[in-house]
Amino acid sequence: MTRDDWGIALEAYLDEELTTKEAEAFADAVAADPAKGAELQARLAQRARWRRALGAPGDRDNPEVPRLSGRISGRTSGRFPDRISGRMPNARNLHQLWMPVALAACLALAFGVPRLLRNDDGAVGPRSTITRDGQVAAVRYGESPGRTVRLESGSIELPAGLSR
Amino acid sequence: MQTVDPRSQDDSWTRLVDRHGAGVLRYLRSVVGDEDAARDLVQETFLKLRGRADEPGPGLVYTAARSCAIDHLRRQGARRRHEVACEPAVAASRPARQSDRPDTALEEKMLRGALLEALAALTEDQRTVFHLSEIEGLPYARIAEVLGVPTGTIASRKHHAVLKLRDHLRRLGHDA
Repeated sequence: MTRDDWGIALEAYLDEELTTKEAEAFADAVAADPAKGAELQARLAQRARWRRALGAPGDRDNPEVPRLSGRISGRTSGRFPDRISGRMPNARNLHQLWMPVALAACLALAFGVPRLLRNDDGAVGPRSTITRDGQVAAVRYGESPGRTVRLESGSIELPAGLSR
Repeated sequence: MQTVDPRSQDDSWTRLVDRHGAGVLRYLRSVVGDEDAARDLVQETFLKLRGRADEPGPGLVYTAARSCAIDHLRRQGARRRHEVACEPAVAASRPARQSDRPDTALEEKMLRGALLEALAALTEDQRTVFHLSEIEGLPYARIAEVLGVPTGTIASRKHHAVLKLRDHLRRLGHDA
C-alpha cells in the first residue's frame, strides 16, 4: 500500500465510508502497527480542533443558527427587506438613505413655492393695484404697498416706489 | 392536478432553512472566505430553493450553495484569491466562541484565521470536499452529487486537501 493509498483509506475510515470488511481490515492494520495507530489518533485530534475552529454541526452554543434562519425567513416574508450581510445601513452610510429625500425636498421647494405665489395672471409676487377712484386700474409686478403719492398728472394714487 | 398549500410550502421551506442554514453559512464562509459575502450568499441559496414542491435534500442544498459561491467567485475574479489570502486578520477578529480558558479561545481564533487562509490556497473543489466532509459530515455520495463527480474520487480529493492544509498550517507556524 502506498503512502497515498494509506492516507485515502484513513480519510475514508474516519468518514465511515469503508465497507464492513474494509473497515475491519483497516482496523487490523492499525492494531498491528503502532505508528499507524498514532497517526490515526493524531488525525482524530486534528479533526476535532478543525471542527471547533470552523464550526461544526450540533454546536448548540452557536448563536448564528436561530438568528440566521430568522433573518432569512423574515427576508422572504418582507419583515426584513434589507440584506443580512454586515453591509446594512448604519450611521456612516445613512446619507445614502437621506440624500434622495433631501434632494426631493429641495426640488419641491424650488418648483412648488413659485407655483404657490403665482397670481391668476401668471405673475409671481404680491398683488398690487393702482386704483383710480376706488377702481382697480392696473396690476404691477414687484410693487410693494406703501404710502400714497400724488402725481402731477392727476389724482392717481400710486404705491411708493413706482415711477413713471 | 395536485395543488400545493402555500402555507405548508412555507413551513417546509422554513424547516429547510432551520435544518441547513448554519451549515450552508459555514460552507460558504470556507469557500468564499468572506463573512459578509457568505451571509449574502446564504440568502441567495435559500431563495433559489424556495418554491420547490418537494423539500430538497442536503445534496441539492449544497449544490445550490456551491453554484452561488462559484458565481460569486467568478464575479470577484482571480484577484479575489489574493484578497482572501489577506483576510486572515479579519477572520481571526471574529469573536471566538465561549471557552473556559481565555488562552484556548485565542488559540481557536488564531487557528480559525489560519485555516481560512489555508483553505484559500485550495481549489474550489478541494475546499468543497474538505468542508462538506470534515465539517458538515456529509457522506461521500452526497458530496459527489454536489460536485458532479464519481463517489470514488471524493476520498482522494479529501486526502490531498488535508495534506495541503496541514502543510500550509505548518508554514504558518501552527501545530496542525
